[in-house]
Amino acid sequence: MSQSITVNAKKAKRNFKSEISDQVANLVILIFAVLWILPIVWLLLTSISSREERFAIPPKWLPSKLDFSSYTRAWEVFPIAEQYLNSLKVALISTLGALIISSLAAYAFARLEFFGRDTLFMILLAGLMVPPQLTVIPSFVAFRKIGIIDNHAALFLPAMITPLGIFLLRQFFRSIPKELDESAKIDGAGAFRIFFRIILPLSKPALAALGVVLFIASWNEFFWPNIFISTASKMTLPVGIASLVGPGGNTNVILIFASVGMQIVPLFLIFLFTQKFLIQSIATTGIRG
Amino acid sequence: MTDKNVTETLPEKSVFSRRTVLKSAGIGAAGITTAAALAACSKKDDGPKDLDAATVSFVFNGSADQAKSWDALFAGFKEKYPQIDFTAQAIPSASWAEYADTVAVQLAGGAKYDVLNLATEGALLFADKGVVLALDDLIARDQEEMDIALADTHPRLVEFGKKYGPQDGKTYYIPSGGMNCMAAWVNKDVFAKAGLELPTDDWTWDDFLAAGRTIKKKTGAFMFPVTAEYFVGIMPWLTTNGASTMNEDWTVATCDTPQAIEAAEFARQLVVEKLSPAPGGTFDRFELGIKGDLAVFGGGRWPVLAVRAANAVDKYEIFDFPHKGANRGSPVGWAAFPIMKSSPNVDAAWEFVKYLSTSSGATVFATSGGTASPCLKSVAESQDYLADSPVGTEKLYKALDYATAIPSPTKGNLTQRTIEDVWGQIIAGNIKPDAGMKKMQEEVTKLL
Amino acid sequence: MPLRKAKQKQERFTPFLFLSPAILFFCCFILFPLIGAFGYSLITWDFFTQPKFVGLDNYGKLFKDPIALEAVKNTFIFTIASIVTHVGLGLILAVAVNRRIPKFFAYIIRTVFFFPFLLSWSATSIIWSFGLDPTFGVIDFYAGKVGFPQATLISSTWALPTLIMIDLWKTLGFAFIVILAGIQAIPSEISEAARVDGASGLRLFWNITFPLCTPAIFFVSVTAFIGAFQIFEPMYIMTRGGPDNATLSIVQYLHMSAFRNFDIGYGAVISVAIFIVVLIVTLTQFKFAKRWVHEG
Repeated sequence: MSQSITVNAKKAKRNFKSEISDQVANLVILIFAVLWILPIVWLLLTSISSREERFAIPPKWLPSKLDFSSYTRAWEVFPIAEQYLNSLKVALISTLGALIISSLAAYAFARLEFFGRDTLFMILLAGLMVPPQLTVIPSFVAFRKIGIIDNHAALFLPAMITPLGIFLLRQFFRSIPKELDESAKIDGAGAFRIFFRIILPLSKPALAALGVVLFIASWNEFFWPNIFISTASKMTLPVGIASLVGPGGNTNVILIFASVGMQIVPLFLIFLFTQKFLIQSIATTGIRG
Repeated sequence: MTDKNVTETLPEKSVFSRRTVLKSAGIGAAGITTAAALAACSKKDDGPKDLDAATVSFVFNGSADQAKSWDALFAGFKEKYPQIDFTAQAIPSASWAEYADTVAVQLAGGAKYDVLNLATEGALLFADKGVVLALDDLIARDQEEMDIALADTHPRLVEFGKKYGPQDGKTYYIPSGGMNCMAAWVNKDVFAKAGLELPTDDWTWDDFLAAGRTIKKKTGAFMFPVTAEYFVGIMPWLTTNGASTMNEDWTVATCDTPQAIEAAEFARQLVVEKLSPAPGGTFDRFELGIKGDLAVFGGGRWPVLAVRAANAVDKYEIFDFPHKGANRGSPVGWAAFPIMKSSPNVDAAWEFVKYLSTSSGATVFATSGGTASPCLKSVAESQDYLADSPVGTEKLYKALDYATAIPSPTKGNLTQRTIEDVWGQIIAGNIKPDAGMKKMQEEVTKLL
Repeated sequence: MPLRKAKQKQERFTPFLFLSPAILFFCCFILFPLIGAFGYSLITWDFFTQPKFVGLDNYGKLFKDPIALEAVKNTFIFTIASIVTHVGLGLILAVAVNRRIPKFFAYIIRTVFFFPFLLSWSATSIIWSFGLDPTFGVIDFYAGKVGFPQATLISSTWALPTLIMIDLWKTLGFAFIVILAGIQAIPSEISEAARVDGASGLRLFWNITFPLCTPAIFFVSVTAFIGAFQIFEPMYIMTRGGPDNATLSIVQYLHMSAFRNFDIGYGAVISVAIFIVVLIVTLTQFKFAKRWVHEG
């Protein structure tokens, strides 16, 4: 009897201890999280504060007066609606194209047998390591000849080949049991049908995850669009923000903050609502070796 | 070579006297028509002027909130020459040097521009590459009109235009795209709050320091933002002490002269005494100034946009930058509109360049709030320019009398980066002023 | 008989059909530019004047260039710090969030840590440049209060660590999520079985959790390396490589050589060098993977 009491007491003590350490850990994480989100919160608060309260030292966290005029001014001053649409257009086309091309190629690498398959895969993968700063000049000269400078094609076409995508999808396809393929083959299905009817439908999470990553990358891309697109109405958002910086220290800070705010808020809302799905998808592809 | 003024080639047998020409080619649309008439009467060979279906492609340095001014300018041109297909590209850049780099990259890839907007920082780069067109024949063709413009331009600008280009005696850059000198924009309210009288144009570094201390004590506001910006934060202190980063020909570095070191020491002192916000970050000086937390900021013409937007024009008055040496000083940068050698539409391009260089264009720009002061004296003294601007705006033009051209050698973008980097370390206290300036001297010499 | 032969022939073409778009795009946008870059590395060209063939001179220049060396050093420091912090902190966070905590809390944590990943570098740079301003920046202000160094962006000792931290802020979320999923994918039977056997806490982690999420960790370290080695935007936008080249990254140096100094040949050489380094390191990582990555 006394033995079980001692055991229970010990268990209770251990539970209590782990309970405390659990809560402490939670607290630490919470503090960490608050600090983590602070910069973004500060940006948004500053962009809607009135002139007197912005950039005050010591900082004023709760503005007593709200001022949204920087947003209206940013809206007036540059074609933000157009730039949103441009960013959207380029990102959608790049992502769709990349998904199609990558899944086709990944299928070949994962399921089909042919001469030089693994070597070719390695070569394709090596393409991951070619930085855009390297390809920009030869690309610029070539695009000029075809006449797609200052055209969105110069942005989405190069984005459609993504070794990362091929790599990820290949990994994913390999994890799909081959038995499914076999049974389809017995029914007389060829490679194409297997691809469309079996592999693709099962790969929805991986495709979604890859799609999201590619979309974000395109949405935030700065270097390439900055060089290739010169007309303001064709620019994408990150380039548009940079266009608020003028020569000689003519940086209109609050306009910049407002534009960044305009970029962040929709992203954040989308993220809030699709979070679970997004994160699960990204995780699913990442863990498969 | 600088004396080879274009006026020497004015044909003596011209029917129109200079006075008549001056009168009729005054401010306004009359300018172009007169020029056309003159050209017709001129004894010089006309050359083809077929402007129908010609295209002019123009690239300029402009950010989103300057778009309105430029658009007004373009509208004026399109109205006068409806038969020319005119397109303009704005390239927003953090600095003129970066802008030049971006344009160079585009040109390298085969982009076809007819006219460029190019500032001092970058002019030599393009001249060095041999891509800009010599304008002498075109100038001769429209001699009278260009004469007028030249006569109306500050002689030092004309001199600079000649000097800082390829030294083969030909003209490539007509300084007409506006210019900027550095002056002190003083917030009258802050001075009043500290119980100080407004400064005079002749104020010295000592006056500046004393005012700064009083303002700090009485109002807590900063005096001036000490930054590591080449044009705005470094050159003013050097030039107001008779120094500069390079010699007049931009061939030898002069960063370690005693005067230059003094300038660095003074800038650092301002930081140490907390008369300037600490360097190393980013903040908006116009915001601060308008709020009343900053007494003075430096500027040419460009702060006027921010000041107007905040309805604070009356709060400010412009004074010459405080000096230490015997004379006042200021850096000056100007923009020109070179025509590309490869342009297939030289005549149309030339019309555009003339439009920009003569008073009609300059006036449009000045009124709609361009970020530079006009190069033409008549416009700089006109109400179009001075209206809705702080008292003392005319000093921005007068500063040309003593200004030093901002040193921009061929590798200007790289020298600028080095200069800004070292100065930044000096004002942050990472390195002592004299050691720092000596280092700057070394680094810049390597690049020249 | 002929039908089967025809089908076989068709089958031989199938891989080609699947691969042709990828191969086409790869050639156009990766291979040809890469070859072009190799070609450019053998000449001196400034965009405007005539290009001149110089053979391997540019390569020789690279090895003697002190600035390039500085850039390589900075980049390696950045990369190693990046991988260590991404994996380390990602792991800690993932383990911490994987415990029995309220669902809402987990949701908040995941949101907060992942969100910066969605921002562009321009937005990030703007936030942090202003935030770190020694006089008006919130972050610098509080940093000073707790004794952290201030005005870090202009200090040659602290600038690079600051950029490492900002990059961590921006990309940790990705590592965190991937590793978290790796842990959550461990079948509960395994961890339950281990618990019944008496394992708990650290032991549980070391013997069960960690080995089973090594594929995720591997993925994170490979992508972290490639991303960190090619880092460009933060130093380009925030510090311009200063102070005194303390934050100059190798890709930034490439950009400077090609687009500021207009020495295309030299820029191309740097890019070739980068390519080779990344290639070697990644292949090595894959080779060593067999030793420590648990193929579940």
